[in-house]
Amino acid sequence: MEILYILVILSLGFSLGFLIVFFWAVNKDQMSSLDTVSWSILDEDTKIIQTDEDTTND
Amino acid sequence: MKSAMSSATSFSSESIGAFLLKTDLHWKLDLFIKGVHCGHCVFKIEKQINKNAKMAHYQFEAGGERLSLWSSDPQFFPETVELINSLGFQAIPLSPELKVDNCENKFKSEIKRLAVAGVSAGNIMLFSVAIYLGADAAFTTFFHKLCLVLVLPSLFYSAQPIWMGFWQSLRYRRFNLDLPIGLALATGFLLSLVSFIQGRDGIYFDTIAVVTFLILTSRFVLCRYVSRIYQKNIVHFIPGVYQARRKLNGKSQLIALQSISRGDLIEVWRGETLPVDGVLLSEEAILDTSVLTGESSPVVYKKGDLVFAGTQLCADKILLQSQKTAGQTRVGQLIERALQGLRHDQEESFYWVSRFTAFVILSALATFTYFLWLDSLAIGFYRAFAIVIVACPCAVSFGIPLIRSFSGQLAIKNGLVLKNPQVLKKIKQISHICFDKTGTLTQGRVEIEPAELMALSSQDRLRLLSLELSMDHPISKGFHKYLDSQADLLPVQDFQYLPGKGIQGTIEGEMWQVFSTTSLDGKKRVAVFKEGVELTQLRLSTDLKKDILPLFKSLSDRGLQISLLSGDSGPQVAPIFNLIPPKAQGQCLSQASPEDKLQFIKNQGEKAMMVGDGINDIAAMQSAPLSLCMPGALENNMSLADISMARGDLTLVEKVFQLAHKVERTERNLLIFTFLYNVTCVALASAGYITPVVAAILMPVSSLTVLSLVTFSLRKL
Repeated sequence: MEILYILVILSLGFSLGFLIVFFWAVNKDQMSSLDTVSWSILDEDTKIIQTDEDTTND
Repeated sequence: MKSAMSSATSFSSESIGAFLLKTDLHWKLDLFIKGVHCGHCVFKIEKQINKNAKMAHYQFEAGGERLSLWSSDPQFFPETVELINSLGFQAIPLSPELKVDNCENKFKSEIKRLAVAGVSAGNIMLFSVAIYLGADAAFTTFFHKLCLVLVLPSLFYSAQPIWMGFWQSLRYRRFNLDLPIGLALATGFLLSLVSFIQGRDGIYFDTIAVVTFLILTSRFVLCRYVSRIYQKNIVHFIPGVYQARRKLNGKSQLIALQSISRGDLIEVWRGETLPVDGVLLSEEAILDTSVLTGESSPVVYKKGDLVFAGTQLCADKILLQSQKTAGQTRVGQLIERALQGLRHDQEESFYWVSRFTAFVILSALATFTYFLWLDSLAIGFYRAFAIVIVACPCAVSFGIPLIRSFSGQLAIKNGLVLKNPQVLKKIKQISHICFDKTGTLTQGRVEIEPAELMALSSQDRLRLLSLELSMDHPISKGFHKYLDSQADLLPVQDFQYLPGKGIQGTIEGEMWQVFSTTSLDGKKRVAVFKEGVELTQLRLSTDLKKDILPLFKSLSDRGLQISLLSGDSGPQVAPIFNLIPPKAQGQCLSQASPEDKLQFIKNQGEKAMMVGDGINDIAAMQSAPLSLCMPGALENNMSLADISMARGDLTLVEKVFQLAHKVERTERNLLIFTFLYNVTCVALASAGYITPVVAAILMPVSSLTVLSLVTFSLRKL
């Protein structure tokens, strides 16, 4: 069962890693606009020429 | 509405200048963008502003309704505002001081605290499960050591807000929720620490971590909800005005609203809203004062009169001298008062939480003293501690905030915006519901029936339109759709507005008059006179909204009295009043001035609810215990009414009641559960049946029960 010591420390290391990444993300403003950025992935990458149909909202 | 707006919102670079905030490297501008509905709108704006090379950085907030822009070139900002407006949105610059203070930084630090608490609680639970399932002695000690290390960041970093509240509660001798929580956390930690050092049982690091995490989560969710509502509502003190024309050395120039100071000469053009309270310098001004007084027909002011911000100029061009600006104006004060109410409600501590706290502390103390006297210090301490842990008011401390937050979100989903989640509680006291007629039960638009108008010769019709459209008035709006092009309008000389009567003017040498009359059947009409001879009478009509019958029926089934308060004459109101089921018929007030409405509501005391459209009902809505506002002409109606409707759909009125009852039921269930749980557990704990270890298991179980109870009951209407 000594393996547990290593596993526990490993898992805590992962947690710490998560926290570091999360703090970094928050400090880089990754969390400040949760709704809008996630929507933009739904749009096409290519530049669309603005047409009248394009302005309708859903 | 759109045509009037577009001219008023084109910003000159000088007027934007006042909104810019100088940061270290760049200028910053905050915008409120009207018309953003979804991610696609945001994306459209993003694509366009990205094209401008001068932009340094931008950021959307609050679901895309707020945009912050950074650039080193001040010229960038007017260009961008122009660009956003050209896409069909309306970008409104926000004053830097109106920004909710430090919201971003607070959000960042809170979400970090939450992450730490989550990591701490999650890992500790893993070890605790192992311990409870019977890990051997060596591992148990090892896990306890790990738990101690893991609970420290949760307690000393994440729980800081709780400690602050705890300290303030002690300092100002006021019960708040942080007192028992802080007490439980502190004693729990100290006792666990002592047990840990002595190598005995009774180590509750797991409980401490989980409690901290759950409490912080519920508070975070609530805080986000409130600040989102807050940001949505607050734009400006003077509804619909963002800039003004200042006259300086004979030249008039557009400047930002907040650059106006006392004594400035301000020019206002027809159709614009007055930006300040001031003294009228022109000979005469015809103003639509419905925002302030509720009087829907325009009022004539003379030179030297005090005129108020928020009122709208119906004709000509006037000059006034500014006296009071922004928050000091009458309309600004109204809005400021509503905002203060919002801030205050946020701070309000729950009435019976202090009772609960007292109950827990007293039972713990009583148990402690009793066993100290009867038995030993150790037993007294352990039982008291079991009580504090098992009865930790988490059910209340995050159950109630969760209900508020969920009810707010549920309301928004259904098209209702609550000023704050607490307003729903007032619905219990309501037994009388008062409706405004125009704009609330009817469409509020005056329609001119085409038959008689089209019977006129096209020349006469054009003259009539020219006269009607030389002033903005509810009736004249009905004529708009009969006009082919603005250019056709003929010049009107000697235009006169006769309050309560009508209008007159000379067109191409002919004297034209339009007076309002009432026909024999009680319908409102306007009579048209040419050179003193009556040409024709035009019929006016207003449409009833659909769903009015089911609404009256369901309200009457709820046992409510329904009254109508209308400024219109009796024959117009009576047919609608007769639609109300007889047993629910309250009173029918016709030709009621805003003051009459106010008095009527006041006489009802605490049981009346006012439903209006925000213009002529403001006074009544302000004094009613509960007010519901139709989406309407007043931009800030959201801040003034308790509940505002996103659509003019009458079924939403019924939804308010459904929602309130649902929330009330959930809250009652929660209270019953909490009461039973606490009384039983405290009794068992003081009798010694619940050891602190069992308490530590029961507590999160009860919290989870509360969580699922609330989530399940409030998931949909």
